[in-house]
Amino acid sequence: MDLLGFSLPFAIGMAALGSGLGLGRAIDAAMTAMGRQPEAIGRIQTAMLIGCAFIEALTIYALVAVFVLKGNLPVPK
Amino acid sequence: MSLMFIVNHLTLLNSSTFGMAVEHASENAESSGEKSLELTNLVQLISQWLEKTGNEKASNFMHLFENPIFFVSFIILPIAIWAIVTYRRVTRGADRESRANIPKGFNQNFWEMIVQGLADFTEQGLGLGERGRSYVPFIGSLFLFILLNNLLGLIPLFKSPTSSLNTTLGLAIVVFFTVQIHGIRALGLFGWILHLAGIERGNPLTYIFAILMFPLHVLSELIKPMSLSLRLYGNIFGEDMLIAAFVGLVAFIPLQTPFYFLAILTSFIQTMVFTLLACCYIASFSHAPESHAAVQHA
Repeated sequence: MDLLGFSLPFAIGMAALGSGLGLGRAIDAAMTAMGRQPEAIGRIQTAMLIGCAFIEALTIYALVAVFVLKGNLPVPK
Repeated sequence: MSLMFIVNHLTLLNSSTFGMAVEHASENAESSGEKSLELTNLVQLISQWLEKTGNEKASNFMHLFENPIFFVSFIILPIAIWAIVTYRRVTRGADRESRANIPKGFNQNFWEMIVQGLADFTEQGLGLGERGRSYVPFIGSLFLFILLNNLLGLIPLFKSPTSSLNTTLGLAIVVFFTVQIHGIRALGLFGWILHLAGIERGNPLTYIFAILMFPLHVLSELIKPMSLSLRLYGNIFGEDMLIAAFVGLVAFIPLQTPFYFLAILTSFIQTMVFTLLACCYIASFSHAPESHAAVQHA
């Protein structure tokens, strides 16, 4: 029973789900703040991008793990 | 020549060459035992030509160092030489006095625009005011280096140096040492260790938790280069792999075009994130910026 072929894409899917939820919350808060204070939009945008990069990085770690492990996938005959 | 003729030939050229490029690269990769989707690049072609003419060692050398040496030199050496020559012509040229007061010419204005932009970016990122001036060369060079390396992968037959973990890990280690040495210089050796233990002078509670916080902070400092390098590597390598996966899928249509725009966007964002994080790490090891009233003492 081949678990690796199932779990590698499943891992990416789960990581994407998590980052989707997290990024949605972060950007929601940033949009609200921008709406309250339009003169601070530049600074809020910068902070939002840094925050998004942190959250995205966790998904990228999962992607890197997939790159490392995909050599072990069984070769189809 | 009709438009249809030109369009057909361009798409045929695109899909056939790119498609063959992807097959070519995956053939090479399969023969070496691992499968990674990549477009062919100039160094691969040159090293294969060297192998055919029997020059095994040169071919291995080129294959081993394709990222750090060859692709970096393609873009960074010309830009650096341009900047240095402009600097020399401005500060030592025949009409240097008039040049210093009113910038003249394309080179000087271009580089002053870039340097001004990088200096503003660094000042905003560091938040240290005047003392942050000495870090503008480092942060600015980091920004330019990473930006040009990320964008290099979009040119056909080239490959981003940052799409391999070697380059990004090197950059992250440089940032790590810069941050720690800045911490030692700004806070003193003893102050740096106290900062790593989370101890503040006026707060007795932090002395109690110092034993717990010290390994935590040290671990977090050691993780920072890993996260920096993996973030940049994963983004750029994943983007290149995405482009390579869409090339040649449909015979006469360049399907990878929308992903080129995504790649440009994510290249810019990743350089900004790397550089801003380096600034934030440097700023976390410094004292807060002095207010204007406190500057009066000698």
